[in-house]
Amino acid sequence: MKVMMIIVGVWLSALLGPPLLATLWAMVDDDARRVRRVAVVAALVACVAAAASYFVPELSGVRLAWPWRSALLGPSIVRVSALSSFLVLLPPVLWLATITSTPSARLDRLGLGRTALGAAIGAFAFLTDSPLLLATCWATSSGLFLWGLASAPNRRATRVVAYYHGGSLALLVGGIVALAIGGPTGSLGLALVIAAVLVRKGIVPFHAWIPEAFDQGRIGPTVLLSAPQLGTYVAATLVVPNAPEATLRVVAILSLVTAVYGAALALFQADARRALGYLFVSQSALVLAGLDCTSEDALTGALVLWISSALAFTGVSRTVLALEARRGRLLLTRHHGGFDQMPLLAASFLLFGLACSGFPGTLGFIGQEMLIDGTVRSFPAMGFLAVAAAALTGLTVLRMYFSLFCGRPSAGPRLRLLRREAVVFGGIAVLLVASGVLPGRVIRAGERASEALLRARDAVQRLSAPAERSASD
Amino acid sequence: MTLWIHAAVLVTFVAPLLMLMALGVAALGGLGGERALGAVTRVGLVTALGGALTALSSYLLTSARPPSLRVGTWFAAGETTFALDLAVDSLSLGFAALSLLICNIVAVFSFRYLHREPGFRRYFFQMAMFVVGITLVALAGSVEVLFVGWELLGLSSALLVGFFQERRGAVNNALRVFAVYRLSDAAMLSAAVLLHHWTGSGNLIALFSGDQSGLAPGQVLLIDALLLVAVACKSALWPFSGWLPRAMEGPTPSSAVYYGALSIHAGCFLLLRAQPLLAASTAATLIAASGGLITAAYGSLAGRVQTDVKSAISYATLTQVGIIVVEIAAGLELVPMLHIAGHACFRLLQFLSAPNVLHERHELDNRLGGALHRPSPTRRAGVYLFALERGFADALLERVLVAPFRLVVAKLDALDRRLVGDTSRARGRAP
Repeated sequence: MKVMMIIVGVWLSALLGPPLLATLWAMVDDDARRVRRVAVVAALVACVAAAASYFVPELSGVRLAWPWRSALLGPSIVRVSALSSFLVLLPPVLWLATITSTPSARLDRLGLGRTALGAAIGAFAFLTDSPLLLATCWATSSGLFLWGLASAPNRRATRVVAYYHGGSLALLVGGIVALAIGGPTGSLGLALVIAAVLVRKGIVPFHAWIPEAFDQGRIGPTVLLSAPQLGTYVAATLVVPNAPEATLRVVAILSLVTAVYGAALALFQADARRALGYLFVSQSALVLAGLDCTSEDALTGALVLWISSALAFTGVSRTVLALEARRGRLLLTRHHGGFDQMPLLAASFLLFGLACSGFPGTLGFIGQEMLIDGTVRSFPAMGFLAVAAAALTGLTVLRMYFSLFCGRPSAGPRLRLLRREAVVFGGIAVLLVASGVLPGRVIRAGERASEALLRARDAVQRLSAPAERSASD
Repeated sequence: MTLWIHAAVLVTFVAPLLMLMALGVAALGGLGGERALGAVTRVGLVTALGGALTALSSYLLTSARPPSLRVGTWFAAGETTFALDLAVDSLSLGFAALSLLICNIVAVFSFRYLHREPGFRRYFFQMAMFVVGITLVALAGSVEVLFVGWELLGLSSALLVGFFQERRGAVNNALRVFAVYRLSDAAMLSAAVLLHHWTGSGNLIALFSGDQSGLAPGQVLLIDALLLVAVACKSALWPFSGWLPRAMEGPTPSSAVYYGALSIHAGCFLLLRAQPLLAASTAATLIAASGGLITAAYGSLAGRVQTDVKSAISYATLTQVGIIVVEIAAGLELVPMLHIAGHACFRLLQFLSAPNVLHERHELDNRLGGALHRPSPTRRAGVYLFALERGFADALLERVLVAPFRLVVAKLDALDRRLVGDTSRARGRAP
């Protein structure tokens, strides 16, 4: 037992310690390039530690309970569930990709510190089921997001994001408190938590802040803090086990509508950043839709899509940023050309975009295939919205590809990818394609996580059924 | 003998996949010269063709009918299973052999045609994607395999239409082509998911052999309708024909293999495979027959006024495709297959010889016989304008589908901007 505690302690330190140390380093060192080097090493260590949860079975099921029992504190401080093991790799990997591929001209030590802290918070959030700690992580990541936006020249985005994130935080806190009180206020609490998730995830009609943040803010931190999808994790932890089926159905249908809405608006955007914003709206809504179907297939598909869309979308946005660093702001109403100057960047963009749209041979295909199968089984009519979203996303991606890389003779020297950019894009591509061609391990992990979620839901529903019966008697 | 046939089918399935991987690595890494790429392509294609011919001849020589081949299960979770089933019958093996034979011919032609072309590697990678796609469509024994092949055909087609990436017209047309193909993919995916949902299996072999016991008449009609949309988009049946002349922007060998020989017939082949399902619904059969007839008439009319040789050939192709669809709707089996095979080979020859004819004559239009200079009765009837405008097919789709969609999206976009206090106008104009 003691040995196990030591192993867990070392593992948690290796996972959360490096990003926290990198944050501290960024506070004291003025040299942004050196801070980046330290952060890259820290991110690598955190990635290895997170990957250990896949390969060391003893880590699964580890639980560090609170010394006191309280509904607000929840069952445990740290709990490595099947879902945690499945997701915990995301924050460090995205952090590593972000800091490694950020153009040197845009480096700033405080930004690096924020991203490191964001990664630590993201990883920790996936390891806890405590409502209070989840709300704390939610508030901190929103604060970091706003802090990053504050440096943008246009204050409108900061204001808009502050309204939406502030509102969602207030809803979440109110919801958690009401859930803790229990009884009749429990239903109100659940409704508030669902509302908080909808706002944070940008589900229609609460979506307008996301394209604005992409348009006016800094894309790197925006993606890093949004792509792991803390809102979805809160939904999986607090909403899926407790909500009645009818409520989940409404959330799923709203999410499916949002997936189509985001994909349709992305298709007609005139600006690459706004198109990215709407693509993100669509992708993250699809994940939530699968999560709320309560069918095991859809749930597993949603979890696989969660990983795939986070990786693929990070790849798409990093390639657009790399192109922006070379060309400035990118409009989609004209053709920029230059495929011959940067073929690898163009191919990377196309591959990541196609993975977002669920193209065969990528992990996105596996996730979307299972998600669509599951959603059609749950909602035969509405499930086809997922098909429409996938079709529109594919079209958007190809439109962006043609606009950003084709349609004009190449002029000037060949713009090679920097080595660190090539490593990041190559790494993401290998992850997406390898797990798309051989998806067994990812699917099994997703199945374990979805079974655990459904078991938790069954347990809660069984407990609440007698209580409801006695109340009606 | 069954084992022998299965081994040959497996070779037909695996060889293009390995070729795709090798050419993908070469294209991304900028590796290999023309000779090396040519060798890889030749080995892959000849091996696959050898496998297909061996499987077909063995199948025809033996009296036993071997079962379909399950290569394995790609993935499975809960009730979702992605089975890699390959059909082993004369239709599948015949179409696979025809496709690979044509791909071999086009590859040999392309080595010379694209000699020293900057996009040489990219072209052969995209062609390999096409070869994998058409092989999967031909051999698909499950609806999932069919869908993967269908998607690969669509993407490779769009990328090859936009092969000359520096030309704005080429990439705009490629996007148009891809838009129609996405509609086709969506219809195909919907049909696949519904089949799974209603029959509990994605097995095409049982379904296409006439076993629709698990389906109600309304369900058969809906699946047929979705398949017809998928086929109409892929084979450019009216009213989805507008993309066909636009697709001629690609290199001539790719136009030959896609829009003269194989891709345009992929829809017909699928319809032929699905004939028992189509025959189970009178309404669907009538829709298919009418679509075929209208397309044949439209292709014949529009083809007569084209001023470039590739467009003229493509509309002539469309006429025959329409007739093939009518044959399938009429319940014929052997005739449409022979029609597909003969027509694909003939158009391939026409497309591949077109550049030589143009080169000989030093002009790009098709006024080869002078027929268009004679006064025509069609002109008096106003049909000439209809033909010249290609039946207003693009305008019709633009007005009925695209414009309302664009209008709604523009209004929603404006609403979103107002919600966040953005009163400025969009930086650019939406496409």
